Amino acid sequence: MLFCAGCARLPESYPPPEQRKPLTVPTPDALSYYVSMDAPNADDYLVHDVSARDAGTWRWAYSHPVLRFFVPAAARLRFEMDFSLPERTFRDTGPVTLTFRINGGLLDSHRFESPGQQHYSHEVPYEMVRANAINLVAIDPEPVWVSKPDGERLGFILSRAGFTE
Amino acid sequence: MEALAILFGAGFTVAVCLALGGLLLGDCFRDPGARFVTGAALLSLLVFFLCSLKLAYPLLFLLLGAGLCLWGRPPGLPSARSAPRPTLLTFAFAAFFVLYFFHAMAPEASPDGAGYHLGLVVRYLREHGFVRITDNFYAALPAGVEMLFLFAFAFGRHSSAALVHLAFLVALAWQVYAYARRAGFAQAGAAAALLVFASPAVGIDAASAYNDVALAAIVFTLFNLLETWNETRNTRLLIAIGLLAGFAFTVKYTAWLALPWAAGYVALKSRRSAAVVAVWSAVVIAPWLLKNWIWFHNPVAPFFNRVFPNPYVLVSFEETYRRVLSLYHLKSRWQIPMEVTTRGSLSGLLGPVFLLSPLALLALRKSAGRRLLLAALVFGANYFSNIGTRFLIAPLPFVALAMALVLSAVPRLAIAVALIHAVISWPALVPKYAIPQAWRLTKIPWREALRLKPEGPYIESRLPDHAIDRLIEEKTPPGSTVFTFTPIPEAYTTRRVRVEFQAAENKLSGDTLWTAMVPEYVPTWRLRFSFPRQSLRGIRVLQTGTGPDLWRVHELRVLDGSRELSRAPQWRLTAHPYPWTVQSAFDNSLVTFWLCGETAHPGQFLEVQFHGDETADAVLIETAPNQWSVRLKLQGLDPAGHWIPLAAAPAASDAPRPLGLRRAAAEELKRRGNDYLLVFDTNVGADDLRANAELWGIRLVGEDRGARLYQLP
Repeated sequence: MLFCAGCARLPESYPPPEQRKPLTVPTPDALSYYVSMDAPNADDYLVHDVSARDAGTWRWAYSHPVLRFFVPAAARLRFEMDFSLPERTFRDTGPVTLTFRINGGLLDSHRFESPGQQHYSHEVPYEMVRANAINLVAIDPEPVWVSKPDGERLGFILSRAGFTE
Repeated sequence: MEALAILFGAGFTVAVCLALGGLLLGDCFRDPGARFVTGAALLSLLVFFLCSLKLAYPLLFLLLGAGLCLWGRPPGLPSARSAPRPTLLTFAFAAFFVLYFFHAMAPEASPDGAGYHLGLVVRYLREHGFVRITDNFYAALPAGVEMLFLFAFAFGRHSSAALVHLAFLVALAWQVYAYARRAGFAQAGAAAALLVFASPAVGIDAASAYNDVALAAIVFTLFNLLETWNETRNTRLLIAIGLLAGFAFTVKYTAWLALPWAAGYVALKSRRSAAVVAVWSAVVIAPWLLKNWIWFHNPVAPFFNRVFPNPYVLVSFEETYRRVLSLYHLKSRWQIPMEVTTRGSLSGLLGPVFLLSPLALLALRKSAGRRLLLAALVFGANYFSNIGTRFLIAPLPFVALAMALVLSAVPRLAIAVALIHAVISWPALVPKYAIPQAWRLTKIPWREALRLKPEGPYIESRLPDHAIDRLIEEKTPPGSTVFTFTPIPEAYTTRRVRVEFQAAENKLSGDTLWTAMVPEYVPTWRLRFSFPRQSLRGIRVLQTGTGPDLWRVHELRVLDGSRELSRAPQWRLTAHPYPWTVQSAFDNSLVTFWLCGETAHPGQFLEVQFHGDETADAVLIETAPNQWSVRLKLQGLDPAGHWIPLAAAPAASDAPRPLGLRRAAAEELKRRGNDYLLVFDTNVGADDLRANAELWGIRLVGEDRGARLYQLP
């Protein structure tokens, strides 16, 4: 019996199953609800005051950075952002407060007390977001670091940002 | 009334076993202990067939049992002359018997007894027989003793089953003494019987709906009958020997050596007789193997899944299970002697006196000693596969007898040692040397046993999760299925409970939930193989890494430029190992996935064969980052039918978390046949479920002591 059972054949192959309705995921060629700075179409999300494209996975956000997102209808959303405050600029600026606005409405103002990698996450009131439409997100750093030689104003280093559940 | 039903259930089961044993053994072996155990083998087989025929009805049990009791000979209880004179030992036996009896009769509150031993019995009785249960690997373990529990449970429920188990201890202790007396060392026999009987681990096991003491009684009866057959060469004994060797296997796989041992012993005297033993063993064993072969595609499920691949138990689970049981929490196996004898951290303790067990080796000087130690070796040989103290109970009577044989060289020393053992094994003294958490008896719960006190508080004081059973019964309709990561006492709920680690399909359900709440399980990893655009008949993703991770693929897409090739119905998908869920990597859902089933090792693959030639230049795998040791390369099937390398490695990138993942995971759990989700505060993701119930689409229907019951969408 053990011998016979050991000879049982495995199923050889299967056809593709019925295709399900896909979940909402960002597509690389269209504006969506979340962006990484290394995405090929990251520039499409940048409206104002973020450094130009380069080969890295991050960009400098200046005094008044603004991003845009296409936000699908969702039951509940959070705004999330991964960024960093460099040691070098933090030495001069001290703690940095970021003020988040969505479509002009104040979402939150948060003070970051230490330099380095940061993760920000905050629930977004339902009425603040326009579903199935473009939404503007402004993130104002205070204070910004000002370069003495050329007067350039640097806020923070942006890696990724967008809406999630 | 309830107490009478309990006593009737147990007493009736024991009487039927005695009658069957009497019918089989006749006058060739009148020992009541041996008759009970041999009859138990027959009754177990009988109940198995009734369950197979869906005839497990209390009324049928009653009629059948009554008929067998009338047909069978009156049990050969020992005559007053053959019984030992009352001594200090008799009082010790009596004291421990009272302790065990009331504990067994009290509501069943042992972890495994109220879990799977009786959980499955309850289900079989409710369904009037076996049902195909592939979502609980315990249902694949042979359940020889549980068949007796089922018979008793039909009349007296949980406590009757525990009392039947206690009957095996009485049969064991009696036979240890009776065998030794026949062999000419009665004093050693009496001492050994008490050493076994008073052992804390033996006591609590015997007084619970477990099966370890039953196994010890079965293998000792087997030994006893073999010794007797050696003297009498009675054919009836051969049948009983065969049945018992098979019965031992159907109680615990670890006792498989009973068959070669018994057949080998007999073969030394007569090969033809050995064939009789083998045939009767097969009669008992084959139905269980057949049941597993048909339902689990693996006759020895839930083990050897690499040899008998099946969709129900993952090889990775089996490997983890074996590894955990072979060392538990210990740092070294050198800790085992102290833990199993004195401290009790391996689920109970045998008693510190058993630290003297190496003395038993001196029994090798005697022929009886050599036979006893050989039996101890045979039934202890598989101990290191599970180092729980319970797994030493089967060889314990042989060790105890050999030890007592040596000690009895000094007059009354064996008796003195046995009495000391009994004193320090009494519940009041065990905490003086054992750890507080050691599994042991604590008091004589006579009010609970006689049902003068309600069951609930007693059970909950020992099994806090018993309250969860009540919650489930109150809040879910009959026929519901509840998914949980943490086992609960299933014997006290009528709902179907699926525990995450107990089956492959449960593991997939658990990981599906984690897909939406544990960051490294979220399908945000993208692996893209790029290669020169060409015509292909198929592609194969080959895994070459080695490590502890399980390779998984949520979606595999074949691309031609920016266009994904549509998945034609003629495509053929396969995977190795664990091909059964390969379609989940091609269903367009990020919440489902193909799981490899074995930890990463070279040679695993996922393959698609197209129906004819397709033009492609990339393959995209959408998966989760929880597989760091996985290394992939891509092969293609060219139009000439040869597998050729396409890409040595993929380019990895991260994608954002999909929206609607929680809801999709909850819906997938429901689609997999689960109606409710039971989550304890200590479970991973419990906070997420509580805070985001709306996003999950789940509804809290009840909570109790850190456990929440959600209804799935």
